[in-house]
Amino acid sequence: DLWAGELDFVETIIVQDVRNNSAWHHRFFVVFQSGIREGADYDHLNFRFAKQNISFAANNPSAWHYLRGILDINDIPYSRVEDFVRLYADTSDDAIRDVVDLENPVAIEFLADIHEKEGRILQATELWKSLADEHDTIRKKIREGLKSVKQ
Amino acid sequence: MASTSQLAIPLHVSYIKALGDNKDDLAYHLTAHLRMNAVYWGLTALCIMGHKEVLPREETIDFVMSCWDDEAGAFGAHPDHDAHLHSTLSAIQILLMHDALDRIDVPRVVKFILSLHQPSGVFAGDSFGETDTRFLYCAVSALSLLGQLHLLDGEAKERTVNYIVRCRNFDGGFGSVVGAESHAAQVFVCVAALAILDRLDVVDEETLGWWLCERQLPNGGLNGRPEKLEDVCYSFWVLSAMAILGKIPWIDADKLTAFILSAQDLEAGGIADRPGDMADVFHTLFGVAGLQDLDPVYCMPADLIEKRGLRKPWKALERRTE
Repeated sequence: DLWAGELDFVETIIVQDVRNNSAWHHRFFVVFQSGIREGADYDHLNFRFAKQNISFAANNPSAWHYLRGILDINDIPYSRVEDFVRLYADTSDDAIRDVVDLENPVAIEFLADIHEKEGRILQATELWKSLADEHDTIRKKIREGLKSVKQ
Repeated sequence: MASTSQLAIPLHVSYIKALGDNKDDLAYHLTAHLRMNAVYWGLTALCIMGHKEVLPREETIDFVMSCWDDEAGAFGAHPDHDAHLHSTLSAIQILLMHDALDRIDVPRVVKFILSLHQPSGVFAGDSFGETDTRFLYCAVSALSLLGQLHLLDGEAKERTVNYIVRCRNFDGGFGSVVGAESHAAQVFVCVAALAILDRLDVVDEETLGWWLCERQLPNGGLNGRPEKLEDVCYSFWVLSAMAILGKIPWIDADKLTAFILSAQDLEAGGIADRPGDMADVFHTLFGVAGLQDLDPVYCMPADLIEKRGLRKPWKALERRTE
């Protein structure tokens, strides 16, 4: 009963400020780590929640971390959300750019990780290179280190 | 002529020296509750800038001893203030820097520290019971600096490490208590405590290393968690954690250095949390710490820690020769 209103509470906070990292963390804790069980629609609701909030603020790291968290803790392959991530990461496609035109290093990173997990190392490396050279230059050094390890 | 391309050491030294002079300022009295900590921040900064003599030894030691809470057997932050783990650690650190550890009643202090150890493994800050991984670090560091870490043994040590493990979040980071959000300062205290306890094996180095390097913003500064502003003190919390994990090359050091230097107050001295804000002694220490020889585990002059035989394996930023 202590937890009864907790999910509603944390959703209210996220609605007020979608970038509130504390709220996203707390939601993850409440849903996955507090020992509360929900109905069969559990995972579906969480995916939907994450995706909706990503659509409000596409470059919000907190929401993307949360999405990763859902996949990790339930052992779901990242490829499950590939089509969704591609929408936000693939700036080469004109049709996609009509939907989402925001430069999005967080999504590109996610897509690169999906490629890597599916064994498409060449495509992953291309994306890491684009991050190092263009979209996320502040982390150029670590990416160059990672590139040489994975090739 | 001071510029933002180098550390204006003489200016910062005189800034710290002047801090104790303004006893008529209301701000001086409003900060009485952290006076011991402030002296530690100031003295450490002076030491690593090579000007320890600016805070007179006897006067400083007298101040520390005047904060002894004889009822509790430990140090408060100010004369007549209740003893607290944090101010006790600062007192130990100050006396160590002045080679005056012999002034401490070690058995009583150790008793105080161990009395704050909770069944869950965390430490409370004082008899009022607030628990936080920061206090866990204070306890472990204090015992280690006093050469008494062996008294936290077997089951007690295991309990302490397990608490930290339970604070580990899905992003690899650590929070202030179990279930709390990952935060760079808590990451530092947990990682440094694990380093002192030789239990870095419980850290997911890849995931945490990545989370830490994501703290760097395009302007070169570091923040404490996602979507927050850059702040000079994270140059210490984040950078030290990365040094301990051996992941320093993952940070863009040049941009970070440029950011720290741009937060200097080139008129009155001192360093602020970000360019344009007011300087304070806390950010002065942690800004300077990003650039000079500080031991990242104990946040003390590196040579002093080395001499005491407490140096752990860590790799710091390559120092620029100026």
